[in-house]
Amino acid sequence: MDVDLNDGKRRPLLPSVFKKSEQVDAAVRRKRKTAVALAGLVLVMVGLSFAAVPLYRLFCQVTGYGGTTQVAEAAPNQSERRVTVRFDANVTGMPWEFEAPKPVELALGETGLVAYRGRNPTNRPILGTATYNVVPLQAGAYFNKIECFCFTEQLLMPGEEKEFPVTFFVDPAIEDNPDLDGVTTITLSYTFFDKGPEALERYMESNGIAATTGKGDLDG
Amino acid sequence: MISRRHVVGGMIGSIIVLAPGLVSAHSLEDVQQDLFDTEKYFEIKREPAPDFALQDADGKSVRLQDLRGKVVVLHFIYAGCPDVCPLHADRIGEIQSMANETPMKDRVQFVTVTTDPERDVPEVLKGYGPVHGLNPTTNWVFLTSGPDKPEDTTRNLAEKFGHSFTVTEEGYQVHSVVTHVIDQDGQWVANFHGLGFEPTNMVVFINGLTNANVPHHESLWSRIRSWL
Repeated sequence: MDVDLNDGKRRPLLPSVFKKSEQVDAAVRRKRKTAVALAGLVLVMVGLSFAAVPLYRLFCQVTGYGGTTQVAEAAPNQSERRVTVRFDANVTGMPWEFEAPKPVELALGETGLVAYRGRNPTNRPILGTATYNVVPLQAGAYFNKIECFCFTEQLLMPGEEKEFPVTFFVDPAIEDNPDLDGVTTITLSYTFFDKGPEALERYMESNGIAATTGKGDLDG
Repeated sequence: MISRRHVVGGMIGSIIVLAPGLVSAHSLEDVQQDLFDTEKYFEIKREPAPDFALQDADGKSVRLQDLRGKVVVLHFIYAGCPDVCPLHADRIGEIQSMANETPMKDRVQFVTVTTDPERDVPEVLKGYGPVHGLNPTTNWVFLTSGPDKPEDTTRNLAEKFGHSFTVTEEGYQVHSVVTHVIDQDGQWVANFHGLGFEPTNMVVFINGLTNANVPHHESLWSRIRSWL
């Protein structure tokens, strides 16, 4: 069918259709933009919720809020003030021999490296785990461990001796805490606990350690 | 139409909404990850612990808010319980002994609450602990509702901690076995379910809390200002 483009009534139809089409396209584009923006916002919010814990940990590490006993990657600049760090070693309900290193004196901010020594004098493997405490209590917020063995399961085979290194520094920010002005000695104390035969068996199985050195010796 | 300003505003808003979650995540740190990996009976909780005002065998009032500053290990039993409760009490006694071998001794409080205040009279409460290795002279206390409160006070409290009760033929109110851990700020931070968890894992978790939430006198604002 032909369309008479010269017809006065029909002629304006084409620009009108084009105009309407442009309006529809513009509306669709706006909706798409809105949808993309909303989807982006949702993604950002989901991302933030996953990032919440690491972000707060970062916040605590930066500000020291809450007195977090901190695990640091590197020591800050040193200070002239010096402290003596003493080490204490304890075992509870287990036959390990657990020795503490000698005290060290170091400047605030200076990195110290010491090693505890553990020995299993029995003829059976023993799985241990350690808790730690810093005395005085408030100094814990400034005692930073770069490397330590706390909270990690430690296996000593019969007769085995092992070093447990601790790398640490005392944060110079301790000088800003008037409650700790007189503190010249900080004590780091570890206590090893026996995880027990069930945990030992699970540990040895999951780490592929031969049962002949484990189960068979449990009665020894 | 959403402008860049709206998106940025939304982000700021979402950070503000998320802030309480950020704060409560603080005390749990690395020890949580280890427990996630190794302890299947460990459950993380993040909510204010239901408050309580009960009393010990001597009639002395004990409120949860009085225990702020200490990690609280809380569980529910009743003395007439023939099987699981004694084992649960033994387990808590074992953990108390381990924790008390360390400087944590002064930073943790063990609380047992009877769900049968009618039968668990003060004499029963006093005799129960030592039999199960729980030391009432240090940091363990056995609580009941007290004569002025309804008999179901402690069972209502247990329900707030997620327990449900069924009545046995002998008329005892039986409930589930869960040990609750509350941090120094009154936040209910963990449950250890049943009796299958490793006692050292609870000791390690308590240790993580005592080291993370060191008391400090400075306010957050003063810390931020000094840092800036």
